[in-house]
Amino acid sequence: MVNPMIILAMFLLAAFATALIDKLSRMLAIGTMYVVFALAAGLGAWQLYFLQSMPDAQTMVYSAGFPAPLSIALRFGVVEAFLITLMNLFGLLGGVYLFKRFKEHGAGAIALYLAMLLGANGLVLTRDIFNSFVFMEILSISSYALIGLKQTKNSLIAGIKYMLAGGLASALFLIGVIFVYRFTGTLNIDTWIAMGNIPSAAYLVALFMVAIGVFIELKPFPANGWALDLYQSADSGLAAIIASVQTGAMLFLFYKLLPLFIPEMLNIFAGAGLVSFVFANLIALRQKDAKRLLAYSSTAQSGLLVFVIAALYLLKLPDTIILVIALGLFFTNFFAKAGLFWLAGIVKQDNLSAWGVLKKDSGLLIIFGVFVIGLMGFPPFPAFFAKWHLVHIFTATKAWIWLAGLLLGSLLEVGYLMRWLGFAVKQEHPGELSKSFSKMLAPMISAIFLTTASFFLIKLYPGLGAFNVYPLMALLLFGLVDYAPAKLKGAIAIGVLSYWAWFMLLPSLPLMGQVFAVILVGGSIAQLFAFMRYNGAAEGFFPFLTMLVFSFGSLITASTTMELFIAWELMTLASYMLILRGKKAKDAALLYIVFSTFGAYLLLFGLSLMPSTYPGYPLILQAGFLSIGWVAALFATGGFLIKMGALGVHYWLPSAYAEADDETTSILSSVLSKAGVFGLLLILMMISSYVKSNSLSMIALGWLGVFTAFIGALMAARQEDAKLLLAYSSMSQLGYIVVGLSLMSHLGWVSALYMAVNHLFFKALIFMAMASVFLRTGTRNMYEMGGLIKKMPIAFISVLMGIIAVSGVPPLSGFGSKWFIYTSLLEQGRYLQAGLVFFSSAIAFLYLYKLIHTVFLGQAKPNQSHVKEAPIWLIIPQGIFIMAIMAISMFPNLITKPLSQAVGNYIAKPDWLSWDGYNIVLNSPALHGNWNGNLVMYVTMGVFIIPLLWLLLVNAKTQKVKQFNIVFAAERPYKPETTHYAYNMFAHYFKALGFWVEPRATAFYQGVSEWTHSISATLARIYTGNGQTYILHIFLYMITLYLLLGVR
Amino acid sequence: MLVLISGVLLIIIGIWAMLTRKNIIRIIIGFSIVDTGVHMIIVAIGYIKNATAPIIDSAVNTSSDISGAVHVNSLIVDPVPSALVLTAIVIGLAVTALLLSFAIRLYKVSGSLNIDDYEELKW
Amino acid sequence: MIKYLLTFLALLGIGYMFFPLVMEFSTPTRLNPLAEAYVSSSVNDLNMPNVVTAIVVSYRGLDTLGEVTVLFLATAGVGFLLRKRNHEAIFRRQGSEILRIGASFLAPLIIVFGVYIFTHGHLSPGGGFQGGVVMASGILLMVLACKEFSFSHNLIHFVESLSGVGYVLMALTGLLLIGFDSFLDPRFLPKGEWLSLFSSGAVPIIYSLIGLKVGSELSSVIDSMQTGGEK
Repeated sequence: MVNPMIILAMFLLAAFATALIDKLSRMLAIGTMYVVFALAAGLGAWQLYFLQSMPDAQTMVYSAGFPAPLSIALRFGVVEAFLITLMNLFGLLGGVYLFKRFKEHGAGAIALYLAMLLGANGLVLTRDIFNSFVFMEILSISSYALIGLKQTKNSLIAGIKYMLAGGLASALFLIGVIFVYRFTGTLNIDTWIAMGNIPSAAYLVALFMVAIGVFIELKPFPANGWALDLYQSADSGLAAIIASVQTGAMLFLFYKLLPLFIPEMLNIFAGAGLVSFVFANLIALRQKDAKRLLAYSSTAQSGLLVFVIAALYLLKLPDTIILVIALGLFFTNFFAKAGLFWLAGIVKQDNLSAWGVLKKDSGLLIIFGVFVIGLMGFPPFPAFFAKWHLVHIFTATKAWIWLAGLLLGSLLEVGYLMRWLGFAVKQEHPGELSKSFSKMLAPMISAIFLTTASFFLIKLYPGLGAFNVYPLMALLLFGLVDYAPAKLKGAIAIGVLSYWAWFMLLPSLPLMGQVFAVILVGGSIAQLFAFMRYNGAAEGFFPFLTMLVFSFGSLITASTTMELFIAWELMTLASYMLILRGKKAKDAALLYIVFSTFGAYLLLFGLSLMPSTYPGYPLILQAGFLSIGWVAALFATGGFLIKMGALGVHYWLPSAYAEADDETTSILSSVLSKAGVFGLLLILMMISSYVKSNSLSMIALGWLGVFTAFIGALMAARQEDAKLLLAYSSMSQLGYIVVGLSLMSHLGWVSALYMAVNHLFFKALIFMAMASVFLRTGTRNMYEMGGLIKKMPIAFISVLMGIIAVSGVPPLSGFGSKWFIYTSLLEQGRYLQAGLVFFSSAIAFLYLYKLIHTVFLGQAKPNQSHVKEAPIWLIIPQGIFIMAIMAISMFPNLITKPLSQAVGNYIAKPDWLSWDGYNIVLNSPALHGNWNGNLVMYVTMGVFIIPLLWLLLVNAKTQKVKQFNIVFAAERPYKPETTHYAYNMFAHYFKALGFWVEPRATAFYQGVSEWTHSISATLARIYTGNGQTYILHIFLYMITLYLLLGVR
Repeated sequence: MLVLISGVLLIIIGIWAMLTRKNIIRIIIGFSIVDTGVHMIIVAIGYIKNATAPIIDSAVNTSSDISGAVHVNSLIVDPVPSALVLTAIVIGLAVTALLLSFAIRLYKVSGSLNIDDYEELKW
Repeated sequence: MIKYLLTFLALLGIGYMFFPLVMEFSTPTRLNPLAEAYVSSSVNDLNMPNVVTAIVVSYRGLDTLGEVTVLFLATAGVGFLLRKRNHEAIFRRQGSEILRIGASFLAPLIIVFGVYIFTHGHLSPGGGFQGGVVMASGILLMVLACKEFSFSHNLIHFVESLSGVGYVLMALTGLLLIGFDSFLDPRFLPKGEWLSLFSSGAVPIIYSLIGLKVGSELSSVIDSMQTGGEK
């Protein structure tokens, strides 16, 4: 094996000799340092390899030829070797980043930096408590001195604060150590652990002092004012190393000491870590300064890690599990946090909103995205797996407070990190990046390393199928060729996805899965054509679109809850990125991701309560005979309902749909929302053994659906913006689906699925048509449009077909789906709900009428004379969907029969439902009815064509006038559009119904947001900026923890 | 015992200075006092009643057994804390030296040593 | 006002925390087993009378190596912080003649005394650190007393670097010559005669190197604080 002493000796030799080497040549000195880091990392890797082949090898090494406790022992086990490799790699990267500083400052800086890494290495290796103190001091003192890299007033005073805090922490540690020596007669940690607990108050105090000394160095809230200032003002290259290497080494020391702590202490430290995680994230929420935000984020992360190791230790989990989880979090955090600090040094902008400069270099922007998303714990980053297991462990042990804190803190974290990402992607800023090869290398390599490692992790993770990797591969490959023309990428994407869907996805699924594959994957592929309308590369679409479609596939084929959740998260991420691509979508996308994450955490909790499944068989196949508890079902349902935009949690929906690119909105509304339907159906299947249609919960769910349909329709009728109108319309339609699902009957589910298919067709159709209108007119306000029927006849026909289908009048399929829902509601005796659903359909007429009338009929606007039909790429999907609608309208059996068959696998088909040619026949004791789509179509066609012919005849006699052949009003109002008849079209109705649509949800969420912000602002007040106050905080914090410990 | 108590008192006095004095130099002095207190505690821990220094010279009563191994018979002070305090002192010195150089630089950069004058970074 | 109250509470709390430590303390009457082991091993295995030195240089030599590094860091840090500011020459009056001559007379003696201390670290109280400090105090005396006193930075750096490197090489020699667990083992040189200068293996050499290193480092700190560090 490798003797770790060699590593230490190497560092020491290099540090001591630097002054001499520097006299010869500065480059040589810097080079020597890099070589030392590389060698040390290599030795770590070698040791890892060695231990792989000889797992039982002796890992303890002594010094001076005497065994411990006489001498100092080092341990070079697997974890140590892993950390050594990682830290030295990091030292190398950080060293390259600081290259210019070293070149400028020479031997002193080089030696200090070497010593910093020496301290970290030693701290990881040593098994001696006093030796830990020495290495801790080497680490701290070198970082103190390196603050002098930047000699501004702020960094100097931050340095003094840091030294005072660090000095006090180590003084406390030292007092603790010496008293521990007094009681145990040893300084060796292992001997000390072997002695067990000593029943004495003084010993406990000593132990507490050792622990608090280390803990203070880990910067817990609120005793961390000094650390915040340090991160904010120090050179970002140094801050990166402090946030990663130093924190990592201190954390490992804390971990080493855990076996010594009594349960009460573990409890207190776990609690303090969690408090630090939640509150530091809370305060970070309102930070405008990027480096200070990173500072809060770093302290939050180290709080999280302390919490995790202490909590898991308290739960008496085996060391391997604790380490795997902690290292998963640490690994991600390590790269991401340091990477962000490095980027901060390249961006050189303090203000978050100025991070838009990153757009000047798309490579850096991508790197930034990788770090931010990794930090938040999205799959496939290791932090995701760590959090997944944490949630499961806390659920299994019923540690509800810990679970809640963990999820709350993570949610806050998503809030500010995504806000930051939004600024970087969307905000324009004229500044310049301070780029240089040496500075770019470190963030670049860490991003590559992090992604590659994560990629292998998800590929090799036990129990994950190949389908989970596809979305990421798609993201990667399409990301690499994103400079190619959109048309080429579109063609490839459609080809690849179609091949995959047809030959790989569909055959692996049961019928119900195939239904959803058609809706989610097929529906998306048809709409991909629209994205080919872009000239040039249209960056940012295809990587995320293909990722989205593949993640739909892995969602449907998921066979374990973990696969389901990974697919869900990837889907969320891809859709977030697509929304964010919209021109003004920054805030809308943030809202979307925060709600989605909240939903995802509800889902995660729900999933963690579920029994294990049979890997290899799609969940949708297993769902029929799996049974889950009602709590699990409740939370998972909550998660899915958020994605569907159910009433109360729909707050994100209008703005996200409105601000995304038009084609994206089409996919979001027609396809993505169905992913929620899929999830909801899955849950309902799993509780179908004990929840029936007349269960209170299902009636409540039904009412939720009804009110979503009703309020959604009302809101839609109020909109002036066509996209918002369609957004609320989608919400309303999803309400019908929820109602149908809540029936828990054969007919109910068939009607819901039929509605889902229909909604896909007509909503995509309308959105595509409207996308062409927006494209050509350049506005979304309906009152600014008019008379487009002549200029965009295809769009008109599409919208006409669409709204006939939506409104549920014969002859199109919408009628069928409404009819199904009404009959199935009546069949289950839910008359009230049926009534309100019917009423909502009536309201739907209002907004649909407004849509077609205002946009396509009436007076053409003079400034829209140039408008012409949309490009072919937008027409292709419209053609596909029109044909689909016609087909299922004429021959409803085409789709109702398979749907019934699919549902029949879970809820048996009643005898009274049958097919007779083109006719669907209902013949139950309660209901009699039939629907012959074919016949209805012919009749309606007839009814339509006769007046049409007559009109054409009459039309020959009409006198045609030019548009401006009439006299305009004598006066021109100040805001002419407000006199447009389409403006506030249904004002009268809203006098009667307005109270329904008061923005209660808006008020609620804004209230939550304001409260969060003001709590955050109040908490931040404790950081007065005064160094003395920070010292006081440390002592008060220590005393509070001590009193909580309650030593007698 | 007395050394231990005075060490603790020194620590408290040092902390008092760090928490109430406004001049950065005085705060650093407070820090040094805390350090000294810690060193006194370390030394106090190692003391053994009526023992001599841990140097085995003629002042110490020794005997050897048949195999030639030497046994120390008289009481000597625990050598471990003495070794540790040496390290602790050096480290305290290093920190103090650095703190003072920070103070010097700070004074040169902004001309004040009052800790209340430096509250720019906050919240 | 509230701050005073909180300060008072903090001090009270710290006192409360220390209370059990002081109350449960009683001066022991005999050594603990570890210390016993150190004493017997120091005498028998290393042939070293000064047990503290045995611990400092050998058993817990890694601590000392770290300690030297800390001092080295302080030197580097002070030099680094106070670097290359163009000091306007501070006006200093020349010291009186008695002072200068006295200092010039004493300084070499002090330095020799320092050397004595660190070469006899394994036999008598004192050692590398103490000797080094004494040496540096000689330099300090010269700096304070004589306005024009200056010494070669290069020389200081040279001594500092070489003694440090030498120390680490000594440590590695143990590893090389004796065995896997013998980093910092001084026993690759003969034990020597009890109470003689060249005894206890490599300890006198190591401690001398430490002494040189500490002395040069502290001189370098004095120099930095005096002139503003490296040019």
